[in-house]
Amino acid sequence: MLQQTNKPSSALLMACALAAGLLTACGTAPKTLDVSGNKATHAKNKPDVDVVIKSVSDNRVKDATLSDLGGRPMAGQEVMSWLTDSLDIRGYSLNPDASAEAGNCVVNLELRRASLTPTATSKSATIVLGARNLKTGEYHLLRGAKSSLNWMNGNGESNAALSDALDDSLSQIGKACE
Amino acid sequence: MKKLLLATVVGSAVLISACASPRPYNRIDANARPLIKSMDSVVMVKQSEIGSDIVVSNATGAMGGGLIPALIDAGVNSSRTKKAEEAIGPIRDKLIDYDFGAEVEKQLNTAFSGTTVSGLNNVKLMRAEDPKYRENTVKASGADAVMFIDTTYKISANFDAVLATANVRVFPVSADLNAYKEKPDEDDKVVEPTDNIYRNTFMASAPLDLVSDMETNASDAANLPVDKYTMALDRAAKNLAEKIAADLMTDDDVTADK
Repeated sequence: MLQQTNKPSSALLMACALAAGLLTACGTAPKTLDVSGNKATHAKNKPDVDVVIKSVSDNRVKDATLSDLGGRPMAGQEVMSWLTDSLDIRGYSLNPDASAEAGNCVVNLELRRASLTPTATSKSATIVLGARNLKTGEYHLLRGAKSSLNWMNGNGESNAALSDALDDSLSQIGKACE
Repeated sequence: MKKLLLATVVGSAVLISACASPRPYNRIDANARPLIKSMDSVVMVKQSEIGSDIVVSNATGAMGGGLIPALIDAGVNSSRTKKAEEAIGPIRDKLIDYDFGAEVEKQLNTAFSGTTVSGLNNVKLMRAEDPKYRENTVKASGADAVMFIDTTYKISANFDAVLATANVRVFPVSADLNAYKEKPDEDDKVVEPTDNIYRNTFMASAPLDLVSDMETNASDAANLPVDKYTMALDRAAKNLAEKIAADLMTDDDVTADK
């Protein structure tokens, strides 16, 4: 005779664990901005331009949020430390004492926009840097963007999209040195 | 026979209730208006740049549902988004120094300037919020009611106009207004969407005078002077603000179903 037990089956337990995991991922907890989206390959993407960054400043719209993707806000307060860390990972040197007369291309960088916005089933990450060449005084907007499918409003994919958008922006830094 | 009649009546009632849909708006009740002497006003503009739009693919609907059409839709929408985002880049560059949020705030304060409701013409601009912000704001407010205006702005999918939308909701703070909630309930200390005493959605558009297809328009739009955009966006913001102010002053239509 088959014996009935009240113990839940392992399949049910696994299903519950998976559902809990998914719910956690889809929750409303704020996302965090970190450098986890910066892959090792990003450093290899650095354009062959001998550029020195004298300063990095935040000149975004005041109080701007970074993202509200999936109803999970991503605050913008940490964006400057994220940017400087990301520049460092990519091999860009930050030298506050750099002189424009030394022959190098020296620029002041400012962050003009940083956002991650949803459109239908996609997400669009944008990073806009403003680069001023200290020798010529010319100012260039370096707009980087990355559109991709929005899978789960996840922290990792959000960070990766912003990191890709930063790569796209920095790939144009040569414009500031022409 | 009586049973048949009863079943018909019950069946009809069920069908009618299933067909009834909520009105797209809920205006302020005329009897509630004298009770609103003060209102905190918040306009939320979360976008830092003008948005893009696409014509959303609907293979799922056309093919009667299913996973494969849904995947097709996702792919097509992703591709269209990518295209629209690439095309809108030069326009965003032109608007890098333009602040739509500040313009909406200014236009709302102008539109509300003649009001006798204290605080209504002192609109506060917000660009971000934490999940509990609205509930906490309503609970902490010293006014009779709190208004939240959620605003978006974008270029149309065909790149021929700028579009601005506003989703407006007013929540009661004063207990005297509880009876006028869209769905009256006990003061359960929880702020629910149906607790509003006013809600409506508005849209304003301003043409860019481009009359071709999307690709040609997008190309032409990149060459328009920045003034064309700032003037169109200013006009859309003004139009939106005036519509909101006029509608807030309109009493609820008591003959319409709630």
